Amino acid sequence: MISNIQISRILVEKKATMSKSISQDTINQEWSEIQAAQENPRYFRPLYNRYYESVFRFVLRRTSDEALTSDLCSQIFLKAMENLHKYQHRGVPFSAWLFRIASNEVAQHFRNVQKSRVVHVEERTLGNVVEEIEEDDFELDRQQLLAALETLKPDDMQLIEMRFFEQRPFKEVAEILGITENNAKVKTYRILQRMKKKLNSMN
Amino acid sequence: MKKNYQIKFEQSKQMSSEQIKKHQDFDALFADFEQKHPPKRKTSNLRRMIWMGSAIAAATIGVVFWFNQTTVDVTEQYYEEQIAYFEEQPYINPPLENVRPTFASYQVDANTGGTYSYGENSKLIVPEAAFKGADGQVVEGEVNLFYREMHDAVDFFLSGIPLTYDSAGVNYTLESAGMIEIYAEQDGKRVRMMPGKSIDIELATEISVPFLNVPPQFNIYKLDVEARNWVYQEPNQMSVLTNAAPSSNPALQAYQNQLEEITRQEQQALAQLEARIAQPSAPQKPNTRNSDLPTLELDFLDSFTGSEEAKSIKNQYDGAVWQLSPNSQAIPTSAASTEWESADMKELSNGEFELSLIKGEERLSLIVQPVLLDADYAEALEQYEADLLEYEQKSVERDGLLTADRKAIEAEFAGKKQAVLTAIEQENQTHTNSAPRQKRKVVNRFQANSFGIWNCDRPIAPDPQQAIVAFNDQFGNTYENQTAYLLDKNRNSVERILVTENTVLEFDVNSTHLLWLVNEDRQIAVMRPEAFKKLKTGTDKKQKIDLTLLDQKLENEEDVRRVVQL
Repeated sequence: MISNIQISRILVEKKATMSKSISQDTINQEWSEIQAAQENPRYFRPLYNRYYESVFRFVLRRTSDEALTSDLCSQIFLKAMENLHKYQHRGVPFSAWLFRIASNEVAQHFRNVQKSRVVHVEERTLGNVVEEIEEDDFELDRQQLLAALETLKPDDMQLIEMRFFEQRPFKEVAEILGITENNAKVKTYRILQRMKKKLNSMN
Repeated sequence: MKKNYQIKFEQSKQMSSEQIKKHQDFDALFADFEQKHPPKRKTSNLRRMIWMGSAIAAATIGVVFWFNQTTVDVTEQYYEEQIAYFEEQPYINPPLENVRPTFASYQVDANTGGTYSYGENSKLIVPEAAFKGADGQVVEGEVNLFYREMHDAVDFFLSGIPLTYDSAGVNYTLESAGMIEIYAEQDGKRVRMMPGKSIDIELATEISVPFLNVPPQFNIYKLDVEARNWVYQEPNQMSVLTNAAPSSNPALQAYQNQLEEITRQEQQALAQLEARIAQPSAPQKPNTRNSDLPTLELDFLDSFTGSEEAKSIKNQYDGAVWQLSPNSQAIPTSAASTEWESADMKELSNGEFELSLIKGEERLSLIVQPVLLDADYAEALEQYEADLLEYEQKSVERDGLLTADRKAIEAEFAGKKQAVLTAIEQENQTHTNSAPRQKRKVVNRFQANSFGIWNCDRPIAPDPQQAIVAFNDQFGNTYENQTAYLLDKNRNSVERILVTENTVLEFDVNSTHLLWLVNEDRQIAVMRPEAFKKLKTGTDKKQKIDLTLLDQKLENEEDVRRVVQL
């Protein structure tokens, strides 16, 4: 039984919101750099330097393999440079666009090698999911919960992973997935409901 | 159940930023990119003409190819020679011994740091404990901080600091909005910046761009002397000190008007939104008596005629004691013996009132406030706290109701503004050299987290025209295998080029250029702007340029400025 998963959810939420929000000024300023890079790919350098580490960490979480992550990052940024001319400024951070490419590249890689991709879960972050699902009369078994997670569709897992295991605010999750913040919330709610149903049936 | 994932119940692999940085290699990425997407070679006018000709007269293809190839060969050979030449030269190479932009020095208490001014508007803010010695320990006591600024092409020329930026093997010239060099010593020994500390720099300069109501985008670069290149740091935070005059470019002026109109509409929309739900009024905190201030009995008001408002206020605060406010003038001793004829009273802000006592032309104005004592005060204070809580709740509720709409309005207008700003930037780029320029004072703000040379700048596109030239002067001297300095007066930059018998001179016919060389006798040989205008472009034929060798030797900065005439 998961009895010792106690986290301060408020703190986690607050931290996530504070650390991940990007000001509109920054986004607008970055747009000038993107336009320069669209004109001349050599000017992609500052964007590459700025986001390399965060994209690397994003991929590493999903592969657990440093060398593979490095290769995938090269592909991700190459793809970003190749598709930069299609990028349009819609007030969404450039990082979200990069993470979307990264997410697709990771998924594509695991499809190619016909392996399942890695999902890292920690005691405290799993607690976020538990808090959303658990009711007074309903105690969760960790193995059952992990089993339920393992059956999620890739898109659903992506959402749960970013929201709960990586503790990204809904706004950022929505930006990466290219959906509205409200839609991200609704989808999350529905995924959790489905998981709850599944866990009930297990019990 | 089917398992779609390897769920690892553990913390993901942790790597430090340094470890990740080892994988970071933009140059390799860019090489991959170029391999997959070879850059389209720029087609010069000459080449376009040639290709058009070849389409019309296929028979001449062989000749055309030879003609074209010759140009490319000469150009490429020149660039190779130039790279090899500058690799042999010192990277920072001041052309005139003992004539350099000078350093200011400041005595800094390393323990406390401080704020130091340079020139009219520049500023350095040094934090406490910002320095470390060779042993890695915090430096204490007095440190000499040396700082100099380089603002224009003459400064850059004299400093010998290159303004070439190598990005993945391609050289760009940097246009600067100002450059600094900073270092510190203690007892004659260099000290370094403590990791995590940085000096805030406010570098006041003057820039010249076609349109400045929106500051142009510059970045911060730091010179890596060992790698012989500038290293990008962060976007420059530039603010304009003087307002730009209306642009003479009608398109830009129209954009400026649009921006102002959008701002006006946004303010109007926000004001309408705020008016939708009334702002709750904040309760007034009651005052209690301050024993240091005199109190007043206002009963005398009852005996006056024509002081109805004063009486009304007094009655409203029945039971209160009136006290002279700390903001009031003292009551003059003569006031007690004056027979006042009438009085007036009106409410001011912050719970204060102005009491005016009048006799003929004489008027005594005092600031008074009602204060409560003991139980009355405690009761009022309790009420105040309840009212304050209600006020805060209402404010939060109101804010909650308005926030989403406020953000939506701000986002809507930010989008509109961004569209105009993008158009302005494009317009600026289109008319970079042809539009009339305005000089405006700006402040560049950045944080120097290490000592060295920092530059607020941006790479500029290569000049569109090209000519192959050989230089000599009025005395028949030829100039080869030495450094020349090329200035575009519309760009705050100076480019170092190699002079050979086939110098590839890049320039912009729409701009104003000046080229000069300095000989061993410190004399300057100049190619004036008129000579650039006479250059034929679109031909591979070598053109001879007669430089003007001036008699006077360059002894100081003023001599250089006289020649360059920025």
